[in-house]
Amino acid sequence: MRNHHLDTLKPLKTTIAACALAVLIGGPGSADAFSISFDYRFDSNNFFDAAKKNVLDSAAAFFESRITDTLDAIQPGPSGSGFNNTFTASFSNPGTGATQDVVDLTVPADTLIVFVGGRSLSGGTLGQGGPGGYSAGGSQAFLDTVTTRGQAGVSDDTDFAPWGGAITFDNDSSTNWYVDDDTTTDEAFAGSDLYSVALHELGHVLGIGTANSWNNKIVNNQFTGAASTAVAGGNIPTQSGGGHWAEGTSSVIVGTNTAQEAAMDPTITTGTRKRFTDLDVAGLQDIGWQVQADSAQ
Amino acid sequence: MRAAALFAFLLLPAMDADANDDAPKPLMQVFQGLSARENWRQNPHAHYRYVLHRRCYCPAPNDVRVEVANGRVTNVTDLKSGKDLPPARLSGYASIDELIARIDAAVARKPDSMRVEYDRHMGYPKRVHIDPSYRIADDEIDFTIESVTLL
Repeated sequence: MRNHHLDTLKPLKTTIAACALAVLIGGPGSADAFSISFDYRFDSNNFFDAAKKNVLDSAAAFFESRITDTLDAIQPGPSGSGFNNTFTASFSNPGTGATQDVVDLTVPADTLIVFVGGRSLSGGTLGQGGPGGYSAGGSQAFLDTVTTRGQAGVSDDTDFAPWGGAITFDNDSSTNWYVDDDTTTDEAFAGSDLYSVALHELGHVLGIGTANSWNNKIVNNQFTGAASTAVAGGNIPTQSGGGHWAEGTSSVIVGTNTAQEAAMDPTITTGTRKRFTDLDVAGLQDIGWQVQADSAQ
Repeated sequence: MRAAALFAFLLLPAMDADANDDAPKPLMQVFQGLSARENWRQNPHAHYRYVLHRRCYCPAPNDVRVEVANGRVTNVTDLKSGKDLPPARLSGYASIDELIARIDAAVARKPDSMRVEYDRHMGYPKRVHIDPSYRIADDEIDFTIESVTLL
């Protein structure tokens, strides 16, 4: 029996710049079975109603229709070889901010589980999110599954394949949320766009600004990933600390020629929607996600 | 005689109600401590304005002038447009005392990374970058303060 506390390990996927670029310019299609499953059990402040859940589902659908990775299931419990495999997911409880453990969380194949909820975030912050940590014990095969989910590049930090993570949305009076009932259309609105913030935080759960395979491509505050530099025409400045593209970084909205500030730059303005751009998608590819080309959001 | 009466009047509000403590309390207090940080906390700054440059995933503007009266934010001006924010938007901004409390809370939780620099003379937090968790994005406390003016 081996016991590992592995909360600093990051997964990976094979990143091939040429393929990444080809994917960006290819035709639309649908991914196989990649799925983001939201878990509301820690939404203790009842931030989410049906309308907000619909917005979250729309944001997840954007990634589900584009990411094609196959991820092994994490199934704790007795194994055939006599090991009792254990897996404890840890993350920031979205309702309290405290570290939360979920013992023996089962993660289906091709699925990320994202715990979501709302609480008051200081300083007007709209949301925060990222991949979860974990501890695991059991057979070597089980530990490999937990660590890599079957993705070959995780162990050398060229790929990323988490079990999921957590997102917290602000629920205090400093934020006036715009909850769109149809995120496919663009219309004038006031307030902070829940759809845009959901896309942004899911980007962090998927590793933008958080994965080792993202961070190890930052040199002197410049992101050097092949797919991203192909889209941008050179290295891309990052925000100090590397958690985002630099403020004001622009690209074009996925599937269009419409210029827009990237979704994964560090700012957002009230009354403005920020969809994922080609550069944001290229960032996912550089982390290691396999992404297929796509039509408009 | 008149001067003595004025002196007595000034002292009156500060007299301790406890009969056993007959030492008069001063009306004004100035603190100059060994810790620059304590200079802000110990001196009674209730009315002031400051310029804030913050980096957070929050609605713009993030470069603003904040005015504080009686310890509460009463006005915020967007430095780019020169316009004051509507009152409903003020709750997204903080007094310096509230920012110090936020720093203290974050430090108490043992962040993954932090740099906090206080102004040498007044003791307000001048440059702050705290990342509570490398694995969580947009949880950072990241701002600079300058041009603090007591009102």
